[in-house]
Amino acid sequence: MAAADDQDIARRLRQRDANAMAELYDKYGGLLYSVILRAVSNPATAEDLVQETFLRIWNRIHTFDIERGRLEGWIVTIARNRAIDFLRSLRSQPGESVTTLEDLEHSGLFVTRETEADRLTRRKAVGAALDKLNEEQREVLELTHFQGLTQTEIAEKMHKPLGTVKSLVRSALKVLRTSAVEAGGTAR
Amino acid sequence: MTQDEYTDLCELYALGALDGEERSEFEHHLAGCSDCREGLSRALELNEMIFSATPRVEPSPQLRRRVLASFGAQTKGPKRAFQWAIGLAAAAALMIAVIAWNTERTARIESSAELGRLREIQQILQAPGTKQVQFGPQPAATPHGSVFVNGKLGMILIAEGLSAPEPGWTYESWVITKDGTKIPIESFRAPGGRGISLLRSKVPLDQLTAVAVSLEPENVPVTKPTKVITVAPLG
Repeated sequence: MAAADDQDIARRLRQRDANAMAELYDKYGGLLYSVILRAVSNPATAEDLVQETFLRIWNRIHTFDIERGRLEGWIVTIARNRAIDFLRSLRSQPGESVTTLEDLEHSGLFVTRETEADRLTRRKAVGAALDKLNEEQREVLELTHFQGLTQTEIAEKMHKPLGTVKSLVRSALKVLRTSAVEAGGTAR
Repeated sequence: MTQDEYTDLCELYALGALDGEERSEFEHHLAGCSDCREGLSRALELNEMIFSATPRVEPSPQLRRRVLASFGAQTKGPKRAFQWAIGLAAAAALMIAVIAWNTERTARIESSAELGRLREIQQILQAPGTKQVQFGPQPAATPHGSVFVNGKLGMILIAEGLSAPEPGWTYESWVITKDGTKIPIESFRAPGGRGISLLRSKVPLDQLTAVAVSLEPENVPVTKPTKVITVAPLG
């Protein structure tokens, strides 16, 4: 079941209630700013991208499934992807097309399967598991999640063979996935 | 690639971290694999948990005002000395929200250029020195609106009651100087009968007498107004 207050905010945004945007900002603005700032490392750029994120939410809220959708998951992914699209545009050569992450923001992919309490328990477990990663695993996760690098780009940056990077990424994600599964009971 | 290997790729695909060939192969597989579609949804959830574990950094209070002003939302606690300016901005910000809503139907406001333009408009509306000049009769069917002028930042023309131009024509905004010279600002569209035009540079107020809107043939350089629709005196 989706969080009731998130459902209410999403419903009012669909009705073009601008004050629902204030509630959304007060609830998640700090999180979105923190995620974007972690990626771009520049407060002014982060603020621009936060504004862009809220505009995108406003423009696309009609695609969001109010009953089953997971609002926080959807908007934090939009925020992260705005930051990564920005970083990729900086890294691209003039005239080179940049693959954007829009396809991965389809709101239908963000569906609630469990209670809010279960989800918070799993999130806490993932947070604790992040502290158990070794330095290299943490580094590859930072590069994939917050710098938007592909595995090949990470291999070049870390001066490691591609196979080694793939193993590091796989092992880091496995630690996190396992902790989420164990905390969530029925989750895969 | 085995099913287990595809499963392992869900998280990386969800991050956009797969390289070209691997990404294409995964997308081809994904189209026909319900397990991987489910895996992708779960991967996005795991990624969300990783993002949400980011240590919080509080943004500046100005960001809240800036974001919410874009939507015409109410913001709490304006300082008394600036209440008049914020009141002016709130009214105009609401107008921008309406324009944004209209624009959404034809083009998403997502590019940096469009965002930059909205930000400039917002800056002018919220600046303490901005003056508002209304023009035209108020019945919605006739052109009317407001001009927001700030001598240091620029000028915004918001015109309402504009009819849809005939095919091949577009609206153009102008400033008119004291000696009668007409200087084109920019062409603009008017979805829902509302159009907005931005003059970016400093405005020598003492040199200007009016702002005007005209209809011009599309894709033709403008030198003087072809069909004048409305004139807004600034004096």
